Amino acid sequence: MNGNIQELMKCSIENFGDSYIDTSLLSYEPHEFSARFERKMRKLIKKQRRFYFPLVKTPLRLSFTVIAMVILMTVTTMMSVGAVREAVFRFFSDIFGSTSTVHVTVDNQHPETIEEIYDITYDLSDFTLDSKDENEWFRRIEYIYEDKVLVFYQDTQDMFEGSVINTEDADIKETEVNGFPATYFLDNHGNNKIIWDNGKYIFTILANLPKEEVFEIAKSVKASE
Amino acid sequence: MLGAYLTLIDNESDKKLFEAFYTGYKSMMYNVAFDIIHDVHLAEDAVMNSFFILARNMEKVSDQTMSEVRNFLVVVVRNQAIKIYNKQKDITYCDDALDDVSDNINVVYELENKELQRKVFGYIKELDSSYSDVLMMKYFYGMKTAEIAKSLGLTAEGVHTRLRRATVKIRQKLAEEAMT
Repeated sequence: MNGNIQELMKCSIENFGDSYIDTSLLSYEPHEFSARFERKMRKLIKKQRRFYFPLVKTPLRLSFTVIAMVILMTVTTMMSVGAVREAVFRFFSDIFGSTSTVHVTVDNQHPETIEEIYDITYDLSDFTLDSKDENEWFRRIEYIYEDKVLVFYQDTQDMFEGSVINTEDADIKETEVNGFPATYFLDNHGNNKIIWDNGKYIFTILANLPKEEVFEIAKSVKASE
Repeated sequence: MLGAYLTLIDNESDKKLFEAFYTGYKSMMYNVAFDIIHDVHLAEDAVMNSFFILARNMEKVSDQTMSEVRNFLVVVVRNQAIKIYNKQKDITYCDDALDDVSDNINVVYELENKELQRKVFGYIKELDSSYSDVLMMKYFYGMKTAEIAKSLGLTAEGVHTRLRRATVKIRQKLAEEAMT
């Protein structure tokens, strides 16, 4: 079989391309990466896990991804002896892409790590725990019941910063959860999504359940005893 | 809802792969970048950029073997490091300024001749990596011009120019050998 130079190069590379990189590269000194690097990479790995990531990971789609939503979180005053903090956030700009990147003004009031565990206290007895992922900076718990999926996130503010959210065709509304300003929208997969900041952590509830039920679930999120 | 499930499964698998690549290759990539930039923070930036590029190309590499992914990451991090180095030194590498070269010579080659393939691959490895990396991305990883451009920090025109010049160089090598 004969062919032109491009076809010959293609055959050569397909058959011998494995040896392109010198294997001496495999012998190297382990490098201790900076905290900044590790933090950024944790975020990236976390985003890999989020199911909307395929929507934005291709270069073409990324080109349509515009930073469109900015949440400014300012901290809060101590309201009482109980030290309840009220978070305030606002949205700036318009949504004009299929996704939005959330930017948070990271302050020094929110804990840098998960020091207090929050959980849903709503009756989820019909659901089963499908997966649970947690580390110092975030928790993700997924419950399923038949074709229903419910995902709960508890993020540190720093971890949440830069999250990419599928907001295609979404009508984003400002609302509240237990007195804390919140954001609600129905995404184009039919999931109701609520995000709120209680002054300590940023919570997200995402579920293909009725809106009212999702709000009830959000309201039931409490610090574990 | 099935779509959401499938995406979840897909992504979970991608995530595990991504973490495996990250854990397995980050130090190696750092060394590749550091050898070019000689700056700890800039080398880390090159590694970070490369993992972002990997994240965008998980579909391309998820079927590859670990060593093939390693090679992909070496190519990407090397180019990211060069890009950062050039930026720091304010070096502008303009492919468009290269001499235009014709690639319209119709020579026919025996595609199944393994010795010829081996020889050609040897020539490809001898090329400057700015050319051979583009060839690898195109023919080994099956990437499109826009994907190569994004991964290596080039323009689409730059990718085409390098492919064209690489092709001419390989053809010249083959012609020179035929003369001897």
